Amino acid sequence: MRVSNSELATRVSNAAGGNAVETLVSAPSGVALRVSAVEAGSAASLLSEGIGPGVEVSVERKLALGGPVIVRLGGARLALARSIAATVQVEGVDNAHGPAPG
Amino acid sequence: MRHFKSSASHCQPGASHRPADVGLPVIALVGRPNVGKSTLFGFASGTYAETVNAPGTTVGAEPRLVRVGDSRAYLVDLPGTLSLDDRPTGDEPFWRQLLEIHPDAILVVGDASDLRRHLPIALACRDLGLPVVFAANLSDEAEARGIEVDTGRLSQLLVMPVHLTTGLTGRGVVAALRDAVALALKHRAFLAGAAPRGTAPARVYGPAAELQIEKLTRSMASAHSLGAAALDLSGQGLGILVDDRAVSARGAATLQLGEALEAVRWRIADEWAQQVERRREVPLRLADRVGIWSTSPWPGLPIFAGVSAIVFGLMMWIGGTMSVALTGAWNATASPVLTTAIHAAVPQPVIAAGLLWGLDGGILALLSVGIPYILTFYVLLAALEDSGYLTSAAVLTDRLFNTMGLSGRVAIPLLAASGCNVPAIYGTRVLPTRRERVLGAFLVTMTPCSARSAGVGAAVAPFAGPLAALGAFGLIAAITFASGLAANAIVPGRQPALVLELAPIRRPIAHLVVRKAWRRFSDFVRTAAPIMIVGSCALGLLYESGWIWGATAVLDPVVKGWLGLPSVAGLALVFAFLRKELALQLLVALAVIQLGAGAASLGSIMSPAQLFVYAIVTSVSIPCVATLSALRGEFGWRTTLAICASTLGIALAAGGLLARLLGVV
Repeated sequence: MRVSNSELATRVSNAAGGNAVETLVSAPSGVALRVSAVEAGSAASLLSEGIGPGVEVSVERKLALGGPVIVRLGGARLALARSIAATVQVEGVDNAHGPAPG
Repeated sequence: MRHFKSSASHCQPGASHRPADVGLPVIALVGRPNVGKSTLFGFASGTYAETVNAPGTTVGAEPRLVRVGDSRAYLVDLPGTLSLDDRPTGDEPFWRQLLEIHPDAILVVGDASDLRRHLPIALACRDLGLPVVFAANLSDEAEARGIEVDTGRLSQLLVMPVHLTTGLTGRGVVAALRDAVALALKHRAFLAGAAPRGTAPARVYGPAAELQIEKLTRSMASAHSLGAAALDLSGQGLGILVDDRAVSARGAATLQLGEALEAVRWRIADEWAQQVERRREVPLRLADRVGIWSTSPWPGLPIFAGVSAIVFGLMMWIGGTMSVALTGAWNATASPVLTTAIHAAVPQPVIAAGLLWGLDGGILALLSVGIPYILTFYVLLAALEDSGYLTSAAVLTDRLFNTMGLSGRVAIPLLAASGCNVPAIYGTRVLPTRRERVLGAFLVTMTPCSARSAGVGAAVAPFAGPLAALGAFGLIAAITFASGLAANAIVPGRQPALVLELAPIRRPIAHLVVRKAWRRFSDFVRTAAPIMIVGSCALGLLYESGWIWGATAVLDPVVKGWLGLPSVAGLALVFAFLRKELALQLLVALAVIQLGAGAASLGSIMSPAQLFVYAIVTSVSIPCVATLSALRGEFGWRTTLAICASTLGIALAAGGLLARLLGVV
């Protein structure tokens, strides 16, 4: 089933009861997400890989049994331990209403 | 590195009383891991430094003389780093490594298809007050991904020359270097007072950050006039570097602000990347699809199993074939000549025989184990590294190794360990922290290498059956796993959570793979060969002189009393320290000496249960002398002795318990 990006974005913001904060662990895979905040403890190490507030990312896959979360940003792919991924708060990116790229 | 430091200090332009034309300009290569820096460096200098399609494997700085037109310069390849504050080699921050070589210009190598993540370090380098050239590398891959870079615009934004490069084919490399050399020479002229400073880039960090930088810069500059001794504002030696003119006062200020500026740099990089990149939709490349597959359970796990089987199979097959060929050739040609020569030169038969153990036996061991298996493994490892597959395997197996305090990156060294522990010890360098490396090396030494596996098989299978041999391997695996769990609980500290960039899958380039494997292999031969030869000599003298029998009295309480084995087995265990592959043959040889020709079969010396205990203890106990020397080289004596004592303790504990369970004692 193909779902449009804006629909998915709505799903992201609605998931887990409306206002609950989504993280890279709880967000669905394959959806464009924007990082809204990163917990202080892991901010430096994530920033040096390019994950900081405002950055667009998507979750490619969450490996089973509590394995790492694979995150895409731009052309790069990063594997993050769940404990780290859980410190990255994200929100849905709604292409229809978001700022035009470039 | 040390050698270079001294030569660098001769040619460094820092001190103003030194003429600027002494020595050649130094150009540093800086970039994130896995951006093809070493390949570009190799093309530029005509030799190939170690390249790895996995983060953080260029160790130490290596200068190479390059010629561009009429000019010459030293090019220094530095380890890949995430930022100037990052510690890629674990000890000192990268900026210190960079400034210690006193570069006259920096060539920043970035990924053309991922500028967003590669521009921040260019910005940071630009702040240092040194000329910078940006190489948008891997431009062929970027094009294949449908990404075009507007180099003209990027050059305007960065205020530095920008070149599209492909390190492998050399595209754009010479042009980038020419710019870097020209800027380096200009910078030297400026330091010598013969030319004005180049254009200073616009202040881009915003009023608040710029004010902070300005304040710090002023305090750095005024400290500068007080002399180097009073300079150490931050305790980091920045002042001295300013005084040496290795970095500008503003550069030192931005270094001191460090992480505070990083967030701003990333924001700017994001903005600029969007301005200069043009992306068109192209179908996903096969290599990128393989990358995605290899990190999914399906088909990732079968791929992992297949790759492991191929690596292991090729190592055993090629290694085995080479081993037979080399052993045959040695025995047919060099060995008889050597034997005759030594017997002619050394009149004392005991010493001659001892020497023969070392030279004939030691070199034969190198030919039968070292060269075939280790060289083969190094070639396979290099191919795997350059293919980018290692990081995928690490992610896939991460969860399993987490239980032992290790990241999935340890999977490949452990696989190597089942061939030979020595390259596996060096292979633990792929692990990010010392704690992980020590834990990884501990598991490596517990893993039976091919010589030990052969020993276990030969001791158990003929007398207790193939199922018992399989059981022995299962037991060793269980002991290793349990020890890993225990070590993780005992060794202080904890494992840092995984943050790993997945390397893109690339086709390994044959000549680069062979060069890298050969380089590592010759390192191994240089460190291990002397130890193997001297160790064999010492063992030979002990054996030939008969002194070895004196050891039985010391060993008997443990060997006989605790393990329930004949005392001759204790001697074989001692010998196994030097030569694991000879442990069984020696056991038979010693038994024949002690008990007569009737003891020529293992079955007549020990019962099947005793052989089982013996096999477990030999396999798990102390690593062989070559592994020991590798451990010492990597971790120092304290850790090495701790690892050896642990494995010996575990082997004796397991052996003693087993002896009681099996009714041997």
